[in-house]
Amino acid sequence: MVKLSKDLNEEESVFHKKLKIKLKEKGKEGRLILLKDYLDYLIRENRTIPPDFPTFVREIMGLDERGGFIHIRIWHENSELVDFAKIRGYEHKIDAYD
Amino acid sequence: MPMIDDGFLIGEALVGEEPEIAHIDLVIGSKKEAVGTAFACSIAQPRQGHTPILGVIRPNLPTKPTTLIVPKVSIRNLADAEKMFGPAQSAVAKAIADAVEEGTIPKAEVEDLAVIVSVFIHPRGRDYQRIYRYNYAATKLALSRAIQKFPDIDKVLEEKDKSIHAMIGFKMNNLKKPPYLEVALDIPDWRRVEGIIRALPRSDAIIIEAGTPLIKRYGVEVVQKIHQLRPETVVFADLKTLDTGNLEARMAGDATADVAGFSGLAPIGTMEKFIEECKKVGALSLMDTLNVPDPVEVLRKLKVKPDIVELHRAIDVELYQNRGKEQESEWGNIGEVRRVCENEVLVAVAGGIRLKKVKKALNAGADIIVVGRAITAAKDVTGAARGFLQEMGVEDVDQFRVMTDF
Repeated sequence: MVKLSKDLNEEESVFHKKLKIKLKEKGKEGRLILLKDYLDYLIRENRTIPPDFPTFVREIMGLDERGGFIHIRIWHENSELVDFAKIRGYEHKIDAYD
Repeated sequence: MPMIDDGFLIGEALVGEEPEIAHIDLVIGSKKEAVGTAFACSIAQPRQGHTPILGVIRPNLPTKPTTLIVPKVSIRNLADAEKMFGPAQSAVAKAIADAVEEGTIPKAEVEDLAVIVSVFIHPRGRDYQRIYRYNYAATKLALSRAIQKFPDIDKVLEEKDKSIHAMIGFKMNNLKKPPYLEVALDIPDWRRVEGIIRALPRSDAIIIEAGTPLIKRYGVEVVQKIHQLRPETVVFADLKTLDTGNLEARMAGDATADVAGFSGLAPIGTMEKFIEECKKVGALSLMDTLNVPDPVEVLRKLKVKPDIVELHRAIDVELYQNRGKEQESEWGNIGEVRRVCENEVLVAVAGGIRLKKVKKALNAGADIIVVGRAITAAKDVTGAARGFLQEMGVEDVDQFRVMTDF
């Protein structure tokens, strides 16, 4: 039996998660390495550049670092960012958003 | 009288963007004359790196008229060969078969004709999606140009000194087996959209709509990214074009859109240019009737009709109640829309559709059910979409893929 959500409040989607990814270096350098790595991954894997890439760059540069990790919003466990973290050997975990 | 009564016809077309850009040279003629001889000689005498292959829609299903594909660029390795034997071969074969279905090639003559198609694939081209679509569109264009004997000499003389930037898209799915479920992605947040797309069941009956807010935020290129995630799915670029119809339709085609939408509020000339350009790029055109007082009247004025008309409930209810027209439904007079378009149209219905309304919409004659937040904002996106598909009587084509989508 398929049940539809009666409450369509967009804030309640179950897909809102966070990808905690450990930077390879601290600070701005670590973020730049991550971004370069991500772009390199996209090009070498022949992936179309995500349409939100400029926003993503701003987001990454502005995120707080928590114990060497940054927390990136994702909406699916198999998102392209998770693929990237796995393939490029970044320490990471997926968590529900606070 | 046969379609080709003196020798053979030649067509050429360049479609798409580098590095997957498709360039087709095509010859069509009688098997009993020069084309038949060339066909037999070519297949009997393969050259290294340029082995001719038969055009097949899939293995064991050659297209008709019988078609020989000749690679223009030397095939140097297995990767090159896979591009030619996979997307290019299939695209050319499908385009030829579709030309028969559409009447470009008379069905009665398919056994008398042979086609030779010379295909260019750049060694750096890697995107199979683009290779397929560009070669499909280029083959169809080259074929129709051959049959129309395009260009005539006046056109050549008129155009020879002008710079032409030729980029045309393609068509992969003609949406010939309704009903379809169109999932409207109006959320201007790519990562969330990505999550929703990954959670949608893999079904041939699903159309993904790149909603206007999504396109406004990221540009029409977002369609390409959606196709990267779901290469097999029809993607609709909801541009709601009001002006520069041919330009915006071409932009959608270049971004690999299967369907491109314009507003029914646009000037008639804009709408006709949009529809014509969609035909050129191999995309279906969709007229959005949001806020259009009388969609049927607009359709009557159009010399060329859109492939899809999308009706919105609230406006239509008011219109038909006020004017007391017959055959009204919650979404408007679907029967009249069909009549005006000589039944060569799909009708989509949109506007707050929930599961319980699906049967009513289908009974009213809808071909496409447009659903937004009832799926995209559901806690269980997969389940919500499957609920709609089940209510529509559409079976999932591949249960295994559905179950392993997470």
